[in-house]
Amino acid sequence: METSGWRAEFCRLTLTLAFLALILPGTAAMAATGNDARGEQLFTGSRAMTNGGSPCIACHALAGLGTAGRASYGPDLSELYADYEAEGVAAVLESLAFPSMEAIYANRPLTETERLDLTAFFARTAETQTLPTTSLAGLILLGVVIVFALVGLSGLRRFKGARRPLVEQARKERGVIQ
Amino acid sequence: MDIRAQVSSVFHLDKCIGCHTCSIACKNLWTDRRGNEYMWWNNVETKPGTGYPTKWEDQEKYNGGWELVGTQLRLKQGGKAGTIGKIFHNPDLPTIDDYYEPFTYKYEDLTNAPAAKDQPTARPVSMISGEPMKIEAGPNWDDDLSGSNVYAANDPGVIQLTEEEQQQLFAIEKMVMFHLPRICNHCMNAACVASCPSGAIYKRGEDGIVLINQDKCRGWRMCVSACPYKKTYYGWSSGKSEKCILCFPRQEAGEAPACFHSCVGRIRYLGVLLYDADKIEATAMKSDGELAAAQREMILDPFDPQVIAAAREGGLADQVIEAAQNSPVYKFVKQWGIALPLHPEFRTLPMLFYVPPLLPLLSVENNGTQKISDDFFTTLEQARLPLMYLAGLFAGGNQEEIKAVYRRLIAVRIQRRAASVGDLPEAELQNARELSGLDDAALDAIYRMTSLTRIKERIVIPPMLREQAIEAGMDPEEYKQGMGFGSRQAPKRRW
Repeated sequence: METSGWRAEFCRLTLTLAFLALILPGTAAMAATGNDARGEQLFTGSRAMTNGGSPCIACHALAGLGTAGRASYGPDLSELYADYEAEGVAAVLESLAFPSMEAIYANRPLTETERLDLTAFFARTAETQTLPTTSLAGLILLGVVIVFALVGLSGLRRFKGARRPLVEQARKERGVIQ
Repeated sequence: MDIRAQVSSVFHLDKCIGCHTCSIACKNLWTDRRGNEYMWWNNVETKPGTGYPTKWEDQEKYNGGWELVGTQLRLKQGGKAGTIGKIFHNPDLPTIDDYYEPFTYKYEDLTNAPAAKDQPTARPVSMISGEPMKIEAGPNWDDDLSGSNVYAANDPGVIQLTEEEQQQLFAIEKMVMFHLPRICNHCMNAACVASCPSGAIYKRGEDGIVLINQDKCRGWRMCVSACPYKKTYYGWSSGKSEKCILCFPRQEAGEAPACFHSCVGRIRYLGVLLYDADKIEATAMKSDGELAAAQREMILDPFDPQVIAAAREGGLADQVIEAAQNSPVYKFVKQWGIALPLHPEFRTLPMLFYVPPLLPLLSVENNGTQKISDDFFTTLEQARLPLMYLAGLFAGGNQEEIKAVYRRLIAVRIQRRAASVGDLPEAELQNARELSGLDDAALDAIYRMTSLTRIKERIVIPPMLREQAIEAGMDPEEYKQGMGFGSRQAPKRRW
């Protein structure tokens, strides 16, 4: 009984410590953390903003969203979290005081939760992101070049000509200079 | 019977001296325009040679003319579906280099050059780019055998000969060449007409002249590849195709076509032939060797009362029938049988016939006299050109056709020799006459037609009867006022 009680106590303590060890590093962020999954939905527009603001993906690029996340009207947000950290991001999302964004969000501000959710989403993508290696325009250009190259290759010997090969053949065989 | 009239011609190749006067007359009259510099509606090429454009006779390369597929005649370049499939990238066209890059010289440099130690020169410049260029080809580059080991050696007609025949052709002491003037053949079964996606090419009903309607032409250039003789040309400036019009405006005014009129050697004969249009398809489907004979068969006797009656019924005017009776072409092709179509195996039934060149025979010295009738036809030794070469040109490979013509031409020569010099034994003359199958009167007529006739006998232009042709389509008064100068409608597509 004694022994088992001590063991049970030890187990409980270890579990608690392990739990704390797991969550403690995130505690500082946790205080202001939203739901990153909801943040992603807000970013991509699959969940509407409460005040009717436009989803970020409409103007901004973000790595990890495939070719859909390559809009180029606003700056690329892939590096946002790495550059400004949670506080900076939260501050930007609160005011959105850029000339092109003001017009959209002045009367449709993001709510507190939305800001937190988006910040959490940015935090997540900052960890997993990879820089985009190809752009959509580049892909299209490559496709066009390939198609043209194929057409060009297939038509390369279309007009062989009749006279020049005769002259070249004679030159090769007999060293004729006409 | 559906009897039609066709203005046809005969070129007597033994008389052609290759002076190119015909080409220049035609050039000055019709193709001396921007974008047309490279075209020669009339050109004279040297045979053996690859011609203009290079290797035009090689239909394995150019896919021109018709081919027999089972029991069907088909354009070698493909049917309607094939034409549409290739409409933006016709692969069978000659390149400008195969014609030749047209050039001129900077003549003004001769007078404008500043004073210097050296004589000023006129450099050749391209008529396409205006840049100085090196002249590497011309419309008859192999004229008189220049460049022959390139051009003559690659003549498709020479390549098909046996090694022995080729040696015979190019043996140094026997080496021979002749000139082949070519214009549009105004074919009965024209491949250009069949190939045109726009329906712009037509064969004029009253005289069989093949024309391209410049208002309808869209410049697809299917006719350029379809014509096995390469006698339609694309005008780079107008964006339309053009071809020999047999100088129909001159003919309508009673004048001979310019190339006929200017011919120094008087080798050209022109006249009307009557033919049965119902037989065109069946004739064009004969085997290669039979084609020349079958085409001769289609041509009808304008003296035959039945033919005359049928022609009148078909709407031919009496003047046209009369012109057909006076036609020298009828005599050459049908009565005397000494003119053959060029490359009948292309199956377009060309209506320009050639008297094959006999050329000066190599004489075997025999005490100063030549015995040519005895052994000429048993050995090929004395023929300057291999019969197979001529058969490939004029008879779809059938040597018998060439031999028949040669027998008659030889008989004429022997008869003239007997008449003018009188040193041949009567037996030889008799032998030649029998071999030829022609009587004395016919041999004499050939001699006269070949050497003594005036222009009105050589060139019998039928009354073109434009007024009747116009009346069939529209009111002549309206025509007279409505038809102005140049294009009748603004082209839909401008270049």
